[in-house]
Amino acid sequence: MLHERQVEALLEPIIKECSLSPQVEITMEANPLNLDLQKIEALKLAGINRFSLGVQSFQLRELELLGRMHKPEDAFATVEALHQAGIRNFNLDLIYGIPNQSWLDWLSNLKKAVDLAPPHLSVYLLQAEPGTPLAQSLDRGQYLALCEDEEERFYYQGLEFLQENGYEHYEISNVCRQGYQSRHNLIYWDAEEYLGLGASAVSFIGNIRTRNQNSLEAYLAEVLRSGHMDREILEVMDHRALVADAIIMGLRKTGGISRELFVKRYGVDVMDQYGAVIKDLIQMNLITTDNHRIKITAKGYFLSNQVFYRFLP
Amino acid sequence: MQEKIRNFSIIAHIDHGKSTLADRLMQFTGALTEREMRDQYLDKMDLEREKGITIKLQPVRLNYKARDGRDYILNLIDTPGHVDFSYEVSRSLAACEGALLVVDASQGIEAQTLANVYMAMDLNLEIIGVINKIDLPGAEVQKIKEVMENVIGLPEEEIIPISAKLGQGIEEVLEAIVQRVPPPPLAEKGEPMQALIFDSYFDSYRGAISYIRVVAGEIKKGEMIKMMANGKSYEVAEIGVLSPHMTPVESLQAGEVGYLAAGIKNVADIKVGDTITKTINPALKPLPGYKEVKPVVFCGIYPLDNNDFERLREALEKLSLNDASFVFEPENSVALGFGFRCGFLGLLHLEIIRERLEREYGMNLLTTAPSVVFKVVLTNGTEMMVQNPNLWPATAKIDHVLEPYVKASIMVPEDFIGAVMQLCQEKRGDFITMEYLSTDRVIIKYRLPLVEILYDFFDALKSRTRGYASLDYEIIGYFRSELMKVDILLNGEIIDALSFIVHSEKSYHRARGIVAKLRKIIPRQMYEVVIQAAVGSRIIARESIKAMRKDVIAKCYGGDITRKKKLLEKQKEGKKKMKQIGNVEVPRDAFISVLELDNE
Repeated sequence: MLHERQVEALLEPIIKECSLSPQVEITMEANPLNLDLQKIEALKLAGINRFSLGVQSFQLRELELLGRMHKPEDAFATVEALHQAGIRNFNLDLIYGIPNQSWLDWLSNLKKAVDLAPPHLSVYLLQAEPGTPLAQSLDRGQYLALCEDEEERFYYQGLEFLQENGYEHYEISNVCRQGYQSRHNLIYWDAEEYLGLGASAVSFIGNIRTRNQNSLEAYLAEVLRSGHMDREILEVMDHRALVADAIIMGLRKTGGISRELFVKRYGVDVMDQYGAVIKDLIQMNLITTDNHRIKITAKGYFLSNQVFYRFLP
Repeated sequence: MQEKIRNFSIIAHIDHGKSTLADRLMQFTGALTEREMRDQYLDKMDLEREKGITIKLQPVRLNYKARDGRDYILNLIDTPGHVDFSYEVSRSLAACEGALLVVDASQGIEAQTLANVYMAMDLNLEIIGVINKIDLPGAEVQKIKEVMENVIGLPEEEIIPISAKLGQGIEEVLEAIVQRVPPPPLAEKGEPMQALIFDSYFDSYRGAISYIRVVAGEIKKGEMIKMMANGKSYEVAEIGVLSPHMTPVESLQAGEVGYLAAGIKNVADIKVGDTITKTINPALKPLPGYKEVKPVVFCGIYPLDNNDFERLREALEKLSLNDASFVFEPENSVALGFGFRCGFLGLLHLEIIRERLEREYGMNLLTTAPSVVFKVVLTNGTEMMVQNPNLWPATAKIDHVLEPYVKASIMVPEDFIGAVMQLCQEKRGDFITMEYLSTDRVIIKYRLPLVEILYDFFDALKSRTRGYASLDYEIIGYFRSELMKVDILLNGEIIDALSFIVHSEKSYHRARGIVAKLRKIIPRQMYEVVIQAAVGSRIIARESIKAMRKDVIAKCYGGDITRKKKLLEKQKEGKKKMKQIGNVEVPRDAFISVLELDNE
């Protein structure tokens, strides 16, 4: 993790050169082990106004299984420090669907999270990415993965619990208190442009998605030599692909996509271009439409790939 | 002229080294230059190379200067080595005066080979026994010589031991052909021209090309010829010999072997076994032995995407240009839409056609389970030939049913007699006879329903005899049987393409097996899927697939959009291998994989 002075050095020119809006959101992602009150205060001074903590779970067994270095008490202490430093805006990441996790385990994690009063929560289904130690343990049968029926139950019942506690569900895996949607993440889901700085950061500008050089040394060398980032092109999208991309990202939001906005931005009425697909999906009870918006249904959240792939060009 | 011609073929079991020997003969006689020499020149198609089998025969002309100092023309007519193509073998043999019987020195003679040797003997061919692979450690040359003498009656001392791989004994084989195979019979002046078609293929420039053996008279470029089976006439555009490349000649005389092009659009017009004559001074009778080859195995072939129907028709038409024994006609399935019912000589033939459609024509296909042709006698006395289970009449209308049977000959070491008999009993077989071929090898004959040996019989036979058994069979006719139709239902709808005909005693077991198999191969869907098997309205098996509950990318931010979209694209690609039937997506392989039940 960057030292607070490095963060300061990074943000200083941006704050100085760019006319940032007073509502600007500057988030620092952190592991609970890496923050204490002193550091938080220094980062706050440097310009950070939102923190996102990789808490994942409040149970030691689960944290160990996930290969996390911190302990449940570290999360409590860090959130306490955020409160002391006067940071109101922060997010906690939680993971469900951990092998051998029961509904009560998950509910207890949710309760503990809610007790810490974060304005924003990301709740992710565990993905055992191929090749990771966890995936290997699962393959060896060391742990028993949850079945998809249980995962689905944890998802919907978890959301229900969060909504009962005043959180608004605004993206497949994200909830927040009113007004605390992550402005940064919305850029992705709204298919807006973004510029990624640093090694292996991704940018999306115009119709091109690029990724910077993965090696920090090579990235720095090129920036120092030419003043430009060395990047590879991930995707060059034609008009159809751009529209599809915007639909797929936009439908991740519970508010869905606006037909008018698509007409304005892309000159396309989604209902016209995808009439047959939309009809099928409505019949399957995966999406709903009104005159203005197209949205995924509650049933559709956990089956959203069934919706998305159908929009691919 | 004639006394210098020798027409011969090679009879051998798969893997006994026929192609290698053919290559050596070509190399020795200089038909191929060293540069052209590549292993197994005669097997042209990729598929043949991959499966190590010869499907199509291709004649080759070899010029050989014998030890007597004279030049001979040796026409080698290769033969396919699979029971599906035994008629083609018989016509190739009919174009020859002699045959090399090639037997592997460690494997011994196999059932299929034996059947072909008997065929050659019936056609009065001179048989030259050759034992190949004598260089291998397991070679038992003397023992195999004895068996060849006992079973086929070839004098031991005339059998030639060779190693085609090492090129040993090749000249002895060539000399034996020259000395022992009789030259073609002398042509009589003025006799009407007759030529036997022993193979054909389609060339996109010259049209249908036939491989012929001129039996009587002479045929020249520019002459008018007539096909005796259908009476159609054509002008000879080109004739030539294969040495082994196509080399045009002015004329072919009685006894000679070559090719003929006459602007013929369709190979169906040059049927294997047919006789070509001239329109002027035509022959009165065709050469003996011609028969219409009837397909015995049928299945439905459907484009996965219904829009590809016309493309599939074109591909089938093109393939049938090259293969007159394969037939197709349009059919319609409620589940699968428009497709074709196709008839084949056997399962290998089916598999070859299917693979060629996919490889050469880029078709994305769905194949239904193969079936034989059943004969249904109705209560009103009329007979129906049913090649599609969906055309099976209602039970009340059926008086009785007959199914095709084969006589199977299985050669096996005596240790496995029990295993073979048990398998044949399981497959509804009736024992006919058993004979000892040598002290430890027997030939067992059974009468078996064709449908029982179609699917997994050969694999089961091989596995239960540790690979030692060999099988040959011939269709012997229709016999009465207790058969019934079983329907498969998905969410209450009969999926016509999955219906099958089965013996009543096996219906329950098979229905349960298929339903269980479908449960395994149909992925979870948006809705619960109920799979049932029914005889008439009676459900005899049931399984269900719970609805899909999860299909989600939990995390999707700026850095991984591209990768996540690739996952979705993969998913979309996977859908292309599915067939939407009602509201159920069925993997295309479901329709054929239900055959593989007994292997599990």
